[in-house]
Amino acid sequence: MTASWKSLYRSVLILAGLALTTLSGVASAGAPLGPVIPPAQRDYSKTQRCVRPVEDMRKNHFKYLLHHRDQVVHEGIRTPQFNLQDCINCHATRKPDGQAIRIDSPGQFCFNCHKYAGVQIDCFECHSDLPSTDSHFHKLGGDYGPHHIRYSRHDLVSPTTLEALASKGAKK
Amino acid sequence: MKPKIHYREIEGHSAAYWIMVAVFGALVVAGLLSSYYMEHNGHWVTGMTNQVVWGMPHVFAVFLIVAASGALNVASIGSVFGKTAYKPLAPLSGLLAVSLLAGGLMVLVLDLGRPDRLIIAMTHYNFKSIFAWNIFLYTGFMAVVAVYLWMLMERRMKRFTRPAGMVAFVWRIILTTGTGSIFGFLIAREAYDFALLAPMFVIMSFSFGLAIFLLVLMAAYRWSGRPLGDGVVMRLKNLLGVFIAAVLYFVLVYHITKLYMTAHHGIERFILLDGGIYTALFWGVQIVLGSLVPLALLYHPRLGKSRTVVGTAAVLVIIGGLAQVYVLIIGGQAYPLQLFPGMEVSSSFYDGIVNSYTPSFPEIVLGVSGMALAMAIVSIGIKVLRFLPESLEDSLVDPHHPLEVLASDDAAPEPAES
Amino acid sequence: MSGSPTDQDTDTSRRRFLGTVAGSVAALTVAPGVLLVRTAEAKPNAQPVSNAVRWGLLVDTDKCTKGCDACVSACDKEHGLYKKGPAEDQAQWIRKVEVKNPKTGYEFSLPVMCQHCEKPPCVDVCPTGASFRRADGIVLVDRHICIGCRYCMMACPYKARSFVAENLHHQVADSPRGKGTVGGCNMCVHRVDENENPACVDACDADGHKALIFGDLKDPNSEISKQLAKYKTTQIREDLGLDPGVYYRGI
Repeated sequence: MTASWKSLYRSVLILAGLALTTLSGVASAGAPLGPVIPPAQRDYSKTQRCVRPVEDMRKNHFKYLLHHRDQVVHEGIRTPQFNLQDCINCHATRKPDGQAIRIDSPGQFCFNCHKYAGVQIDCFECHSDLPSTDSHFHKLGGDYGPHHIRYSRHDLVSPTTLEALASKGAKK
Repeated sequence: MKPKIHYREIEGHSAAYWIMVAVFGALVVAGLLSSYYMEHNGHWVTGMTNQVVWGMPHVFAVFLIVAASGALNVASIGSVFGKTAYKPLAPLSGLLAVSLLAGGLMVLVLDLGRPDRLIIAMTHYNFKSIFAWNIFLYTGFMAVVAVYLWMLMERRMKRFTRPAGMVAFVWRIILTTGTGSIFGFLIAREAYDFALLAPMFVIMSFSFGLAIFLLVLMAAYRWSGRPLGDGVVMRLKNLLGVFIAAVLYFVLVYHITKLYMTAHHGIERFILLDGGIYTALFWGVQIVLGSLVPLALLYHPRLGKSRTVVGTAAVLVIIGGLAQVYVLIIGGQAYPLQLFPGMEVSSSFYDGIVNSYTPSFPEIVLGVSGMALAMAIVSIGIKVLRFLPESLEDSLVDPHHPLEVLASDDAAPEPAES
Repeated sequence: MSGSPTDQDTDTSRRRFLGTVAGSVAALTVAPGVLLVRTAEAKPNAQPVSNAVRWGLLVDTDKCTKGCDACVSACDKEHGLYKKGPAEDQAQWIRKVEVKNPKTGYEFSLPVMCQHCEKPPCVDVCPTGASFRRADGIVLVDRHICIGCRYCMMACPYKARSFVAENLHHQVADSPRGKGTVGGCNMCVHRVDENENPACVDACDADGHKALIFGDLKDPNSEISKQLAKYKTTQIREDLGLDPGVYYRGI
């Protein structure tokens, strides 16, 4: 390639690069810098928006998810505070016709951030991504939130603690 | 003074070579595609069901892993047992071992329900599971053989060849024992649950590995135009005969013992008599085609000297080996679980009946691609590095003891019939 | 405070005992104010299962009729085991098995599910430890670490497990299951952890057969233990020495 062709080729490349950059800038003008996070249905409590402070959740939600899933599966520790179905119930988004938006669809709570961050999750390969409107747990509390009564054997203290508490008053 | 063996890469410039590598590559790609198809749609597209959970991919994977361990035998005989004539064959033996194992592992991993969880498999271990131990044994084998090859091929490390060879030898005996124990430890199925399976797998590895080694050796030397003396070939073919006979012995002990156990008459009747395809594969392919015919061919006084016959016998051993693994894995699952021994059982979950299994095309492609990967690695390996001696003619291999050594050295048994 | 037991034949003694304990705890926690504040801040209801309890099932096959599959339908519905795809790939966590002695002609039928063994071979063989036995005796699969190798399916003498061979889109919230993992009867852990019976037991009771009893094998006062002490029972393939948690009467 002669020098003149080389420099022409180089100039074309530079111009093309500039054009692409400008165009992409124009195209994404007005687009938000970051993922669009759909709002949740309600707050966890008067003082807290989520089961843990929002910043903590943003940084560490996967740690809670991983830790608590192991606790639930291996040790049967089911708490109303960290319950995946309740997360879904709160964070579910709905289409105008009332149907819940499913995972891997834009507008779904987890999907929006995870698609932006490029982090694949496989929770919903197994877990249902739909809010539970007719779970059989519905019968007790009636609604889903921090104050519903989750009637669990694990509401109770261990038999040894109970014995200790009970024998506190009695003379032994 | 013993003439020196020179190792040299093959040229690998011919169109035929590149076409061969391309074919292997295409088969590997086909295997990857079929694995994606099976994983993406779910295993319902395969012949594997809730009744026969392990199918063609496992048949190939187990065969390849067993053969991989046995392919290292040739190197072990040289390094560990000091037989000089086998020493030049050691690098190829090591390369073949690693590549067969790679092929087998690829098939095994790609058939998993969740192959994306391989990292989990490598970080979460249940050490009571022989499968978990096998993960260490297989990956460790790769490392051990890599080190062994380094000792073999690096001039300065030659003095470590024997200890490295010992480690590799012991490692692969444990590895093959572990592979056999995958089935031997299972109490659930009548065809398994047998201590004999572990040593039987070790002997099977000797036979299958050597058969593949012989074929690869003869093909590599013929197609690269290098001389391969009868000294090597005859020695190896007699050894192969010994191993085939040994496998037959183990199969015999397995079945005679189970026949003696009245409770196991059901499974024995199934495999030996009325199991349909499994009985046909057992007698026709595993025993006759895969064991008796090769034995006859290899020990025939005239035919046994022909390379074509030796190659044919090796191919038959491989086919018989695949059939043996198929009968064990699939036949063992086809026979119903004995929930109520002696009773007639039926249910909506296919209890009490012989389970049917038809291998599907994607499964077979995946299995074959494992073989193709192994052959691709060998083909490229011998071109890139100095695995193959320039010449294996008799005067180089054992200059002081030409063919007479066969009579005393290998102690090959006289064939029972001509 | 306890949910009113609508069906008297469920384990009322167990419920009454727990109801008494619940009442005592409620009384005890109100008095010391410090305790109340602590439970509100700490994770409440955080008690791991322990081996003080061993959940088991007793199946009375004399009450089990040949054509009935109430337990099977209930299980399918509870866990969303909808039947899609080839028949041999469909999940069955419980099934009715018909048995006939070819020599005497005697026939009986029984539901067979995961036997929740004390020494489960499926747990022994799982390479990642996904198939595990909970401290309270329930044997289940942690689908988060299951790699889908199906070795547990090879190892189970009772053919308890099913492999999910297709993409699932309509899982039941309480019973997550997905393509490429293995699962089987988990004694409805989500129900057991909430003081309820497994779905099959409730369905059999609702149907009027009352052939299934669920309870704590380690509690001598539970209904199941009393029946086991009173009547002759066996386990399927007792000779294997696995000590299943499922007992059968009449086989």
